Amino acid sequence: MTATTQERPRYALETRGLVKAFQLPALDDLSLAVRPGELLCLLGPNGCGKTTLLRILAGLDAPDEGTVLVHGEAADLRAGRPAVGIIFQEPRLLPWKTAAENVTLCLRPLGLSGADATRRAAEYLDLVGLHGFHGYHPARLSGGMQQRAAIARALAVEPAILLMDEPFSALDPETRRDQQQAVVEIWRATRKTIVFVTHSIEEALAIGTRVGLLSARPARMLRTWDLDPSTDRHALADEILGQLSEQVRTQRQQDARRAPVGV
Amino acid sequence: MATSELAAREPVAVRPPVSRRRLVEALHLPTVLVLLVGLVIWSLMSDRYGAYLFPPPTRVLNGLAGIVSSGQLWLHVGSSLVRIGLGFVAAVAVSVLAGFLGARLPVARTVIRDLTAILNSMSVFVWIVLALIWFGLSNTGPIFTTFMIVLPVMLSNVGEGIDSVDRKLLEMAQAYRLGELDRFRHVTLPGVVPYLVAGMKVSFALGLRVSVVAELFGVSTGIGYMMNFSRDTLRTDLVFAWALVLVAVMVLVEQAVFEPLARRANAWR
Repeated sequence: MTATTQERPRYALETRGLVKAFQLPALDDLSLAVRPGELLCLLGPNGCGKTTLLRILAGLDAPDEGTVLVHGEAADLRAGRPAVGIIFQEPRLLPWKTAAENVTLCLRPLGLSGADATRRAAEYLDLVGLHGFHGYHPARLSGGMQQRAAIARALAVEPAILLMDEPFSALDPETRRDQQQAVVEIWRATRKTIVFVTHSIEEALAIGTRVGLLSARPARMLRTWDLDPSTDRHALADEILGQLSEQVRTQRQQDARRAPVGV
Repeated sequence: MATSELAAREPVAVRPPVSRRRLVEALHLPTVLVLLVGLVIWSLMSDRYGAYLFPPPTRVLNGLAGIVSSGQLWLHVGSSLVRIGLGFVAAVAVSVLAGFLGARLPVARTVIRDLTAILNSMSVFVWIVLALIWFGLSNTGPIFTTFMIVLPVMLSNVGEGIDSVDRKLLEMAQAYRLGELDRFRHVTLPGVVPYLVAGMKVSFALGLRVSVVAELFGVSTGIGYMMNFSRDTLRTDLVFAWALVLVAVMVLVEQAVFEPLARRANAWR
């Protein structure tokens, strides 16, 4: 468990001892606790098992061991309504559907259709700043707008938490800053619990209310840092950079050791 | 950033105006010239070898006018199109079903691919002869032949389309809990549709050519039957006239059906 000792820790999402291996262990006893309403940024070396974690949380893979609790209750993430609204690295919008249709389609599994679905889609598309673009096909939206449509889609299913997997890594720096700003504003407006995976310390410190560090593969939670307006970001950035670099080195050594074996 | 404005306003989807200059563009001047040269050569051949081997263009046009005015055109074009249509639609339907199966089961996909290869290497004549044996003198022969010839073309196109479907979109659909049918309908199928339409275009033309051959046997209507009938009655001019009808039908169906279909299928691009 992470070093969080609040008086009554009711977590929006909690993982206990997640283990997952493919040919190699990807997650080892990973325990993550996400507080309700926080914007938790997760950092970790490339290839440490972040994607595996996200796939489990999105219900695409089942863990070998361990449990996931949503609002304190054990949840089967692969069934029922999505507990986690996932935003991928790419927008992953259906190119043959308009922004609004992309959102309403994902409301169908919730049993929402017709006017109700349209209304909800419109509400969330407006919320992410796509007012006036509901009827546009993705090809006619900019990269940043596409990613915001994807955020609207995730919000519209009204999941317990929002999971963002390096959503802006493909955008140019200018757009990226705008999008980060947008995420903070959406978070303020909705008070959604957000887990934001990134490999940029700068990004994590810019938007997060808490920053978590994952270890080299197999991933474990190493520790988290709470951020508040008084936090000295420069000092913290250095501290996190030091620890992250250590993990990156470990990861590299592992990879190098593995390479000759031909895995 | 706009905060939640609940007004559900749908902006009008903008679509570029459909170009009406396509026909003009299709009449490419050098092509027209080459065709005119061909016409001249044809007239010369007609003079040299006589009307039985090479009926003069004027007589062919007269014959064509006769076909149209006597109402034969509609009867025979109609019955040819019905046969092709049935075989074609059945083949398209089967290929879509096979696509659904192949998208679900990798095993099925391999089996379908292998069967497609076998079907592809079958001669039209095999199906025509078998149809005569199985169905005798009936409409079913040309329908069956069209079906068997169109099927492998459609199968390989649908297969290619399914291979091209973005796995990341399927993963997204799974993460949002779309059911299997919804995934097929909204993710796989729209991705396959451009391939489907392209396949339909090619295979309809193929089906038309093949079914005309199949009409030589066993039926008493259709473009193919009339061509053979004209030959039997020594009316080579009508053979040419029906050949022109065939070309016209092909062009018209392509322009009236498949072009708009292709435009619609690709409208979102």
